[in-house]
Amino acid sequence: MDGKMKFYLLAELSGWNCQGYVKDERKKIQESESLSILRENVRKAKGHLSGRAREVVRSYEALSIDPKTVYQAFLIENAIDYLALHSFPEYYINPLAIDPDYEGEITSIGDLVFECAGEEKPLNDIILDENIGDKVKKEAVSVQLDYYLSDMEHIVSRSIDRVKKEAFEPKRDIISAILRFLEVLFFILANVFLAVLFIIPFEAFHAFLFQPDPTFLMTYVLYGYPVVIFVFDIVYVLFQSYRTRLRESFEYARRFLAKNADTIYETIRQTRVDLYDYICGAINNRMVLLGDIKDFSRLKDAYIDLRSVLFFGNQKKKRTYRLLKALLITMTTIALIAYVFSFVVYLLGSLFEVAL
Amino acid sequence: MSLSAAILALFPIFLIPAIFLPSNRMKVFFFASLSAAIPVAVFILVCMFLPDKQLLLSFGNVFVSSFSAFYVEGMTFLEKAQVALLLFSLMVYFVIYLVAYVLQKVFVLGSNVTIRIGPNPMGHFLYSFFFILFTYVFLVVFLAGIRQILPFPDGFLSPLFQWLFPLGA
Repeated sequence: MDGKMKFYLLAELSGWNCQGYVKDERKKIQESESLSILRENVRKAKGHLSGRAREVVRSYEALSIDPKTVYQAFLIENAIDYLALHSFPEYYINPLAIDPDYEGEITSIGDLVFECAGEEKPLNDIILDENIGDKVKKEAVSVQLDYYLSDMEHIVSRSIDRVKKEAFEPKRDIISAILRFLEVLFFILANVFLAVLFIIPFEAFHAFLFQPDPTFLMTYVLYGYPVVIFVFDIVYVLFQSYRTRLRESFEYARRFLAKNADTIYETIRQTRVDLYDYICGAINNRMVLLGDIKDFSRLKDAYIDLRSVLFFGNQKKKRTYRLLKALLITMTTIALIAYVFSFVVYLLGSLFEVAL
Repeated sequence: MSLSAAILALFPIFLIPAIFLPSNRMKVFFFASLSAAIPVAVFILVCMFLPDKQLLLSFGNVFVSSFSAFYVEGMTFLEKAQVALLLFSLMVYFVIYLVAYVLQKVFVLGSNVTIRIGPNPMGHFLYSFFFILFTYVFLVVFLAGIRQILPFPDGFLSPLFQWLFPLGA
């Protein structure tokens, strides 16, 4: 707190009106370097799944940069300074939960900030610090790794909940399931009817194949319906194939979690043990850690991709997905109209054995 | 519109999933189509290529009347038996395919598509190739066998159709 702020804070507490100063402070906070650093760091933190990254984002979004008093300005300024400092990746990256495709400024577990002997500093500095005993260092590492483990377990349980929610959420799932069933049923019916049109002998009807007559509805059925259904089939299989491709990570995770959730937790716990042994080895030998930030990641494991589970909803926002879905809805509507029209014409024609 | 053109027009409907489906799904479809294709293929081959087509005639004696709605005028008993055989095989194919598909969907986990080993293009190509073989090619054979009851001319693939299922057999 600078001298000027101290003065106005005391003045405010003594009952003086300091609104003029509050206005200046508000502008100063909004233009401060800390806030611009915080904004930039929050943008990067949004791509991380660790609890601390999410906490930074939440805290930033809950921040209201509109102080009404000097005291509030003081609190906001300090909150921004604290958040700005703790919004750097070395504070929030969890080596168990880091994206294996991460290409940021943190390259080693040694760059991560640990709390040891009442002080926050990078792990490599702790390892090389001769003034702290190895036992104290290892205790600090153990505490921090316990946090990383619980954070990772929380990510897994969120994934499991997410998968269960996607599978079993009552209302939305029943309606979606019915619509998907109707979609598949219509696809089958439309194509079966197409086959019936040409396989079941019906001379009066098939005559229009060789002698089309635009004054007869059956001509439009014989020539129009196959074309519409063919285009519908192409769009349908294209959409379903693309959708299946997008969903595969999620579907695989769902199948895996349904049977093997315990295996994931066990693997994470073992990784925590392995990481502890690794860091203790470095402490014992006074070795600096380099280039190993992704070596203990369990986010995209041999088992499942937790990131794809938790960010699953974003895939439906992709432009190609929305375009194909719109195309499918359009073609399904056209195909449905063509189907009803053709079915009625064919049914009436075959019942009364006349060309319509 | 000829049968040959229709068959070629159907190819993209099988090619698109073969290209775009992920490996896990491709494997499921491949094994489901394999499970259906092998018994059906064996059954058809045995019926069609036994000397004097004894099995085909015996099959015809039992099943020809069941598919009477499909026959056109002028078909011999052997041709009707052939059509009945193919339509029956189609039903069997779908049933086995469906059962195999559902069993695999429930019990087979597959592999993690995002594991950092990377995709296996040769594996995917082979699964896709055999998937097309056991679905699209079977469809072509089926249509060639029942072409007599279809209101289309054979088209440019007529020699192939005649080789597979000679008319008047």
